Amino acid sequence: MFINLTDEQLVELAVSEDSEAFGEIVRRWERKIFALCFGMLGREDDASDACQEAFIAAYRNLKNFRGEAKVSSWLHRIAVNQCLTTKRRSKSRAEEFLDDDDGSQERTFVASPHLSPARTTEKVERLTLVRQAVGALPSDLRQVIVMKEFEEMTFQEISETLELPLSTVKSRLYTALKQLKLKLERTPIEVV
Amino acid sequence: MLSNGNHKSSCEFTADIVSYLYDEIGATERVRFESHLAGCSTCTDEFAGISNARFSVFEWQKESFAQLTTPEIVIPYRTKRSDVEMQSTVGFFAGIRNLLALSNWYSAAALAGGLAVCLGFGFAAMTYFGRDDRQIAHSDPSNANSGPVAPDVAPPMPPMPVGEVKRPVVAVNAAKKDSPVRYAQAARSSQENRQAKSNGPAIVKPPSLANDVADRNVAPQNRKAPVLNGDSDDDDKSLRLTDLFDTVDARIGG
Repeated sequence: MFINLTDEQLVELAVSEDSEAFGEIVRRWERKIFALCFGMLGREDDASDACQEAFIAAYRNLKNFRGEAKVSSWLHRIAVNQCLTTKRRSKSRAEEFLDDDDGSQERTFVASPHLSPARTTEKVERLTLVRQAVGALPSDLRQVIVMKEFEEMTFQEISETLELPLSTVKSRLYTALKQLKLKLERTPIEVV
Repeated sequence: MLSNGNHKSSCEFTADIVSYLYDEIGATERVRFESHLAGCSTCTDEFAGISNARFSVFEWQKESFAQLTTPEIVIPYRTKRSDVEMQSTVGFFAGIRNLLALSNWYSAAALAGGLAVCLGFGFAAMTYFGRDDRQIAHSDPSNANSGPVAPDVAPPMPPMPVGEVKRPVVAVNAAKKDSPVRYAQAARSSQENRQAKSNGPAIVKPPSLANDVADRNVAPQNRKAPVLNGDSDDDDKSLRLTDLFDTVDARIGG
């Protein structure tokens, strides 16, 4: 019903008390907003909470959306502010209480066990697409991606291993991720 | 400025996106970047796109590779048949090899322990046998009549013609023939000599340099041992070498 509608049209419908339209917005953007929150917070549970609160904040501020920016930028702004709030909150919490977390849970992603068959199929397609996109990268860019994501090396370690300047390593990783983003956007996966 | 291959990002903070994304940014730069990110839609969208790409790779790594166990790689080194046979041999050297095949700490501990045990046994053996020798020398009744044990420790002397120098010959003969009868006779004769000397009044003189010089001018056979205290040598009833010489001289002279 809402598949052919743009994000702006969905927001207009959501403003007019159509909760299903906002649900479609959530389905379209929840993964990207989660990825943004995960990139900022580095923890799956924190990212999940921040993502949920970001969408709640977006729903409450639907009437403030004036259409001057894209819906994606609007959602990104809300998510970034929500993540910064979460970081400030967790920081003050850590200062107030003894933080017994040893950081072992950092940067872990636990896939939800309650995926529907359609979501599972979507996920498999996405992973296949990512594998192809990474494989299509130039070898020097792919090398940095593998060392960073698979070997979990720091920029300094990669720099020493490849005997490259630190700025070159960062530039190569940025370029690799940028090209991956373009390749993934070029082949959109149908959101169920 | 970082380039993506297709576009040039206009914001200077895009250089910090990757560092911030992987949490490898300084505290000052982090605060600066976050405050900028909250107000810059360009950087926000850029960061969101990069985060999404990175998360896709991260998810792929987690789903496809994280659960894979690290394979156990066994490198088939080629070994000589003789080496294999030597390794399979069970024996002393195999045990040493196995010991040395342990880690350095285990080897060092084993060697130190073995050395300590050897030293302990050696010390115990020395203590035990040394005590037995003293006990035998002091308390063995079978040695009571055997006389002095000088023959065992006396240095060997070359054979000398009889009559040329007689005193050492007699001494050597007396030492070699450690018969109890002979020593008993020598002891009796030395006691008789001392009694004959003690018939006169005993004059005890303190040792002096003049006496020493005078003693040097006396013939060796008439020389007297210096008296260092008030006790007379005649009170000593034990067998002395000078008495033995006196006895021998008396016999030879007689």
